[in-house]
Amino acid sequence: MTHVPRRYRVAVLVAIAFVGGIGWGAARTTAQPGTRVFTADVGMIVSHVKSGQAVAFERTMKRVGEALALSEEFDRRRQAVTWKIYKATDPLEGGALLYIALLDPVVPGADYWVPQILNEAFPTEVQELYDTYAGAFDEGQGQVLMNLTRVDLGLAVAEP
Amino acid sequence: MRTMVNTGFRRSQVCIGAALVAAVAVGVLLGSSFAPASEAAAQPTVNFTGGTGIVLNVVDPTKAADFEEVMKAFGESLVGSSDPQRQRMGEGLKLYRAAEAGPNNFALYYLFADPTVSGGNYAVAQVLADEYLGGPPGNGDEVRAIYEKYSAALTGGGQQTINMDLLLEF
Repeated sequence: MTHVPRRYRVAVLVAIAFVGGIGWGAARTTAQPGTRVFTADVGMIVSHVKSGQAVAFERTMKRVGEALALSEEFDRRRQAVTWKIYKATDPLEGGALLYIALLDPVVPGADYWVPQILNEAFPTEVQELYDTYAGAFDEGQGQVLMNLTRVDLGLAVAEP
Repeated sequence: MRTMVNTGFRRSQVCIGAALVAAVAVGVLLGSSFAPASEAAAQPTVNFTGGTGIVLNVVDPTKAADFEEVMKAFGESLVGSSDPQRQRMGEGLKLYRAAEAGPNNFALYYLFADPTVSGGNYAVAQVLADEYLGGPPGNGDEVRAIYEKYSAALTGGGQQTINMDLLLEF
């Protein structure tokens, strides 16, 4: 059998991951432009934010919280209850900042598309808010949505 | 207003293109940055420095049930420990499985430690060795067996640990 040098094998593995990444990302992004409806019980939004745009992104997300709290729709207020946003303590390679929103549980059928939520509550500000929000994302990585299922670890004390 | 929002939505299509580029980057990152399973699984110490810790586990899909069995043993070992620190570690654990497969069809599991316990060692192998089925010396064979399942489940995949802080809770 022909011996394949390690660096070539690594290159092949990276190429496979490269192709897998395309399919993985495409499955998450192309199916739902303009909407963010989760199909599982739990949702996660991974956001890669440009270095220097943390304040803008965080300010926008605070406005999302206000919008949900102000909403007259019961489901919008329910969305707020289980929406947590975490920020990585260290920037990623390249300087982007990592934010993870965990929605546990999601409100079934609810749309988590941030510009729409802002538009409902702050229609006169929405373009400015949208520009700030859209401009905050790192061009190379953007945002990934994931549908999650909670695995029961049998920890009776884990429930709050 | 509708026009302005529609303008925003059109821009979102540009974002989709950017997201595809992002997917490539994620794929490359995942493919190149995970430690080999034998290294990841064997880490003697896993500490978190943030208020919340996340461990992304990339698991062989044919061994997903084994991985979940190990995670249950890990959680039960923590909450069943006589060490109050480990009990608190167990109380903050949640495990999620991604509905969609990751690169190369591997299963993605996110282990959340929220809140983390300062100074707590979350290394699965260490916790199992110390606590599983009552701890040593009587648990040696069982620990070896479950560790082999853990290591095999991560072979070809790996782990990535992320330190985070809770930023917003609406």
